[in-house]
Order: sequence, then C-alpha cells, then structure tokens
Amino acid sequence: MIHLLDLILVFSLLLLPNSRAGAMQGPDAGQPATESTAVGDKTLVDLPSAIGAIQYEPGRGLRVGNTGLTLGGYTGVGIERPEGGPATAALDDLSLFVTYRPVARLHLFSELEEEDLLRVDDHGRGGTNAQKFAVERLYGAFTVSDGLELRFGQFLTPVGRWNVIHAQPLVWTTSRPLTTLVGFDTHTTGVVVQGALLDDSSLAYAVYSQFLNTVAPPHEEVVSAKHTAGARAEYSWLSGASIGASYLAQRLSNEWEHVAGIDAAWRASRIELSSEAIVGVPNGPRSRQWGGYVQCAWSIGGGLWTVLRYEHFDQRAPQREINLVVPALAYRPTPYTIFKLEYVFADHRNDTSPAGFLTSFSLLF
Amino acid sequence: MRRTILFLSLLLAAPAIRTADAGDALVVIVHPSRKDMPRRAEIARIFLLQRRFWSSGEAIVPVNRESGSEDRETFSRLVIGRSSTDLAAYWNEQYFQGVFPPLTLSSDASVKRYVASEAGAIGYIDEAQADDTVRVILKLR
Repeated sequence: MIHLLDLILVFSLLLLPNSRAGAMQGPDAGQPATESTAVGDKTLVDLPSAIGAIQYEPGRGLRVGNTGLTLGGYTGVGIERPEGGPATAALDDLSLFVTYRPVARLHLFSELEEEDLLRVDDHGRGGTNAQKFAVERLYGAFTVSDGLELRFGQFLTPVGRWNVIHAQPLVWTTSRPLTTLVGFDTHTTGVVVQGALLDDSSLAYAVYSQFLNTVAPPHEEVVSAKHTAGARAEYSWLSGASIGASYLAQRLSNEWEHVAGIDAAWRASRIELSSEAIVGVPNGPRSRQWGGYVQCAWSIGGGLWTVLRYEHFDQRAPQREINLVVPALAYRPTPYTIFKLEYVFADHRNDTSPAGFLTSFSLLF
Repeated sequence: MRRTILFLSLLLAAPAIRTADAGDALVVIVHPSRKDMPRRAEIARIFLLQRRFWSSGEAIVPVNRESGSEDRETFSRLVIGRSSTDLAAYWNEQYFQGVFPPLTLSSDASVKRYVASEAGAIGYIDEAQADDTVRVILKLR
C-alpha cells in the first residue's frame, strides 16, 4: 500500500539536482571556492540610449552604443625600493584605449598614455612634475582576409611576446626583462602586413617597416631607431602553447643592426611557462649584445601565483653582462586586476632594471 | 523499514533520473544558407577570433552563451580545449589589442533566433533545441 510519505520521498528525490552524462562541472571545479572565474561578458552598466545600449564591463571597457566605439584602458600604482636608493611610490601610467570598429574590416585604435602621474620618494620629494603625455599606439587597420591585414601607424614592434603584451595587468611582474626592452626599438611607426595562415589559422605572421618618426614615444623606450624592417612568425596550438621567431634590421644613428629572436610559451590552468632570447649584431664597430629569460608562474590556489624568472643579458661593451633572478608573488582577485610583490636580484648594477624590491597593483578597466 | 529501503533505493537511482534536456549533446549551428563546414579546430579558432571570415568573405559572428553557464563551459572545454577561466588571460591580451570577446546571449532560444536571422553567425545550443531554422554543422558530447 502506498502512503503519502512514500510519494513525498519519491518526488523529493526526483527533484534532486542532476547532471548531464559526462558533463563538465562548473568553471571552478576542483579549485578553491575563492578562485576567480572568467569574465568577459559581465556587464556592470547597461543604459539604453538613442545610439544603442551604453555598456560598461570591468576589464573590457565602455561600449558606446552601436557606434563601434569602445573606450577602455589600464592603470596602476606601485612602490619600488632599489638597493641603496630611496623608496618611491608612484601612480604610474594611465593608459586610455580608444577602439573604433565601424565595420568588420576596419579597425582604428589608439593607446594614449599619461606617464608618471605622481611620484614621491620616502623623503617626500617629487610630485607631478614628471608627468608626460605619450602615444603608445595609434594606427588604422584594414582586413582584406584572415590572411592579410594592412596596418598603418604607430604600433608595438612585434619582436618576441613581452613587448606586445607589456601592460602591467597582463604580465606577472612589475619589473620587465631587459631582453624585451634594451635590444630593439619597442615601437614602430610605419606599416605592417599581418595575418593568420594555414587552414586552422594557427600560423600568424607579420612583416613591417618603419619609415616615420615615432610620435611622442613613452619614457621607457630605450632604443630609438630611425628605420626598421622586420618580420615575425608564430605558430600556436589550441592547447595554449606557441613558438615564435622574429627578425628585424634597425638603423640606429648611421649604423644598421640585425636583431634575431626566438620565443616560446605554454599556458595551462595552473602553470604558465615563457621564454625569449634575442641577439643583436651591429654592422659597425659596436659589439654584439644578446640575452634571454625563462619564467615560470604557477598557481597555488585562491588566485595566488608564485613566479620565478631568470635572465641573462650580455650587454654591449663596456657594460658588463648581468644575471637577474626575480622571485615574485602575484594575486589575481579578478582576471582584470593583479597585485604583485617581487625582489630583483642582480649580480651587477644596472639602471634599467635595478636590483631591489617592487610591489604594484594594476587593473584593466 | 520499507520506507527506509525505498528511500535508499531511490537515492541510489537519483543520478540516473534526469530531466528532459540533461544528457543532450550540444550542437554547433549556423545559418541555413551557410555552406561552410569548419572542423572542430577551425571552430575553436573562430571563437578565439583568430579566424574572422567565412569562405564567402562574409564576417563571422560567433555567439557564446553567458559566462558561467554549463553549455558555455562544455563548449569551451570540448572545442577550444580550455575552460573559460583559463581563457581569461587570452582575452585580456586581446583587449589590449582592441579585440573584444564574442557576443553572448543567455538562452538556447535566443542563440537559435540570432543564428537563424544573421547569415554570418555561428553558435551552439542543446541538440534538442535544434530545428530547421538553423543548420547543424557539428555535434558535441
């Protein structure tokens, strides 16, 4: 005889949460509950207007209706204490991205930067005197096909990986490898032809040339080339691995120099490996310089990552070769914010990447 | 005692008792007029915005389900081979280049409606939701 309680038991169990056969669990399966989840479509502001919805998404910018215009950027604050020097707190660069895509094949982009907004040392010296406006990037691009895009303007020189993604919210350390900064002009003002080849678009290429002066270069630009011609190829796997090779010929003063580089990266859920190496061989009497780094970042849970980088840089004579080791901690409470804490150990003095303590917070907005 | 046995029996059987759409495959859909048949790896590149045009030259419009949805995570793992969490760094780098993630819609019905009306669109829905207003090009389990 079936009782009411039996029916209640049956229906209660029928309503238990069930899962798709073989289905994936949620995005944080197997990870601590505090692990950050992916964003990219979490709109914070959504206001109707005559030109379409005005939407803001953290880390993805402000979409101005249906105009094709998006505003975004990044900023950061940091403290550094080089060995033997005063501690300095800084409100670093404020970068504004202006993206305009009126149609699928046309892309206009600029990154405008206000550098060194505020810098104060531990004696209270400093202020806003060092503020400088810079144009990081300013270009227009027309896409003919997946394999062919023409870009004209000022853009980041496609040598290696770090230079084209060097923004503080995108990299694991506040300090930057010398290999990615000292060997070549980090900005190119001219034209680039680029695209993705092969049936699955796994091979990306770029061929570029500089024949114009850089517009308002950023302060961290160490090398300034008068003319440049170069190329890059990168093969990527869907698993997150990629390898690349770069070459450029740059004219510094009245002398040409050839720079070649290779790079590799692999990114998985809880670990990221990256490495780059370059060599610069001048035509004239100046000496060769070369360098490379290997970096590993691994997740220890809760959005916390440990990072370790080793770099060797054989600078142009009479400067000495230098070895740098950077252990760091990085904390990502969300995918578009990052706190960093690191110490740069160096066996010789170097002004571009001095030994000492650094910490920073940066975010994409 | 009888109730206890009944309760335990049903508790053990509960994981096998599913609602109508649980256990359905996901299918990748395009507009009915679209003749392209991209392979799984090409579909992955499409949703990573590394491939942007159909063979006809028309712009591809990939449509994702909303972040955190089961379908989105299933698609991301089965086609791209990474979770949406793992792709966050990739989309940060793309944002730095002025490239934004694909459009997202919050239900199978809205994805189907959009793909049925937009010739360049490609999306994914539960197999049970597919009908002749869209063309299925890949089935995922």
